[in-house]
Amino acid sequence: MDGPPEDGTGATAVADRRSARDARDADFAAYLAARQPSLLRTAYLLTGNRHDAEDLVQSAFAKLYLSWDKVRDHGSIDGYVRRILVNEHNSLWRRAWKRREHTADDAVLSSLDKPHHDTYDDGLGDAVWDVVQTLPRKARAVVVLRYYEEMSEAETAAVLGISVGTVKSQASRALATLRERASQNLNPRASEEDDR
Amino acid sequence: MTEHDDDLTTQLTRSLTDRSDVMSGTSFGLAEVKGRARSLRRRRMATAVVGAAAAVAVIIPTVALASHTGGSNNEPAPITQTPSPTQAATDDGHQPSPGVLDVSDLPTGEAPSIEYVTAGKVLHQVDGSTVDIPTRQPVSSFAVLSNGTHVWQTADDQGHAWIEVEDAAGHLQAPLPSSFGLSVTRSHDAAAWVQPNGQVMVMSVGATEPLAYGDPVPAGDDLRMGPFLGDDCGGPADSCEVYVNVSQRAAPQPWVVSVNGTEPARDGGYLFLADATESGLSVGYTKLTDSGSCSRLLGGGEFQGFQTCQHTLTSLSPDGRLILADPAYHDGIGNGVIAMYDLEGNRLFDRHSTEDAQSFYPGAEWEDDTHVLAPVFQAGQWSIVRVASDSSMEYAVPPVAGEDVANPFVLSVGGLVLGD
Repeated sequence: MDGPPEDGTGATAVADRRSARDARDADFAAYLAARQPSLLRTAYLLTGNRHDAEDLVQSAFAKLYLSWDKVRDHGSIDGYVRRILVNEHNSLWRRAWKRREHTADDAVLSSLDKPHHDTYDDGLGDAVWDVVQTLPRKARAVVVLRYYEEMSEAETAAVLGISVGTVKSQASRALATLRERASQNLNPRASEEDDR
Repeated sequence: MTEHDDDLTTQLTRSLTDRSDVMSGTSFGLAEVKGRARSLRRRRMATAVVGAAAAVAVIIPTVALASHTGGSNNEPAPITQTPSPTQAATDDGHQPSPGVLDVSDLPTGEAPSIEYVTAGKVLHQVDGSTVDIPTRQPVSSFAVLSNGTHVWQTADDQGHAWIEVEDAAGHLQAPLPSSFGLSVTRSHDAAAWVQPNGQVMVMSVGATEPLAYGDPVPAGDDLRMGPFLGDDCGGPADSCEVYVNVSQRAAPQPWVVSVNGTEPARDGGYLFLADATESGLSVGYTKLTDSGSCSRLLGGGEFQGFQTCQHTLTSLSPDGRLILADPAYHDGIGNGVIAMYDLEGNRLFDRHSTEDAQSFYPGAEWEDDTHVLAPVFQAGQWSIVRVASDSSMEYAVPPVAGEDVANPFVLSVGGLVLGD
């Protein structure tokens, strides 16, 4: 072979690092592909619109990427990324900035977000969603984690960094609000009884 | 749980699942995530390697802002010599590299010289003694008045804030509703907060109970206390000003409340007024974007003032000579950057967390003219760290185990009480 002999040690080290980085990225990409759809759905329920949901999830994944080695070793990736998601969403500054970014186009975009309803739904989903959207931000997070993610009270408390008692009281309060404000739709039997 | 509740939660789960289905598939790939991560890393780390070197912030002429309220001739002179270092450490430990916010192994210094609360219920007094706090809910913030009165702000299970005033004899008054945030005058002769309906309330040393102050500010999406200026507030010579930052949809605006009325505080073009002094200095942010913010100091006289988009200018030292700063972009769980400026825009230091340290702090309070105290989380532990204007750090309270989302420490607002 012509030319200087290759410095085997240095070249190997570089190749090893590159290989390790590629393996790490492949690992992360697999997790990203597997978990992104479900996190986007959770983020949508937290934010109430598609744009903010995508932004929130991308931000959460970026932070996860920066801590990937540590978090992966601890085996608690799902909990970690969910906690980032909720904390990001609850951040005061982020809320202030996001409010400033919203434009009149949001109304158009949100109209595209309406899900298809089966005929038997009779507007029930919209009624519940309207109520959920008016809940205070942290109460809404409790509702999403408890009744969408179907986490236990203890799991919800751990993700939100609040006490189990607070989870209980906020969930109870949210249910009471739902019951009060959407009672006709949520309890068809009540309507039937009223009609008699 | 009743059968009715079962129906309700089943319906709720079904409705949320149905609604979430509008988000299907994926929206971005690894390349976008890595790009966002690079951007985050740049923000966190960019100046870490040069953090200890003083840098001059962008000086902007503020002549156009000369209408700033309160300009006077008695503003402090610029600092001409190195501020005093921290006190001697009492054990081993070492300073992290310049520019790095790593509090894993600091020397231990003296206990805080301002009061602080642990676990929301125990007051640590300046003499080292502890007292149980009689409030109904855990303390989230508090101010100490010069006559020994404590103004406790607490948070209930519903996430609402309350004020409970305890006089020096230990008599506790009934809770009053409040928004989060508390402000105290520099002489600690009065503290102020704002009720959710926008009404500012003041507890002063000359009063037996809190009094409504001025007309209400608009009740926005979010009300945050700004500075509280003046002396003898509530008294016959009242010339005090209470600033409240009102965030309404797409329109953040500070308001000023005084006995003369309540009006938008437009001088300086602040979106959020963070701090001010009677001598005419003020800091706050003037621009917000998705990737950061710009903050400004208004000098009012000798100082031109300056603007920086590298940090958020958060508060002025008790003597009004230094400015504490944290990240220009506030995200997630807390601040990974702490910095200090002088009034001419010279950056005295700039410490950043690292990927290894993963340290952060929720906020900091001035302990004296050249030191701040900050509860800092790192590696499963919380400590109160004293940071000096020469950038040296030490534990004021050594690390204790804790959760990252459960800061056990609450520092009194407004720094040292005169006469302590």
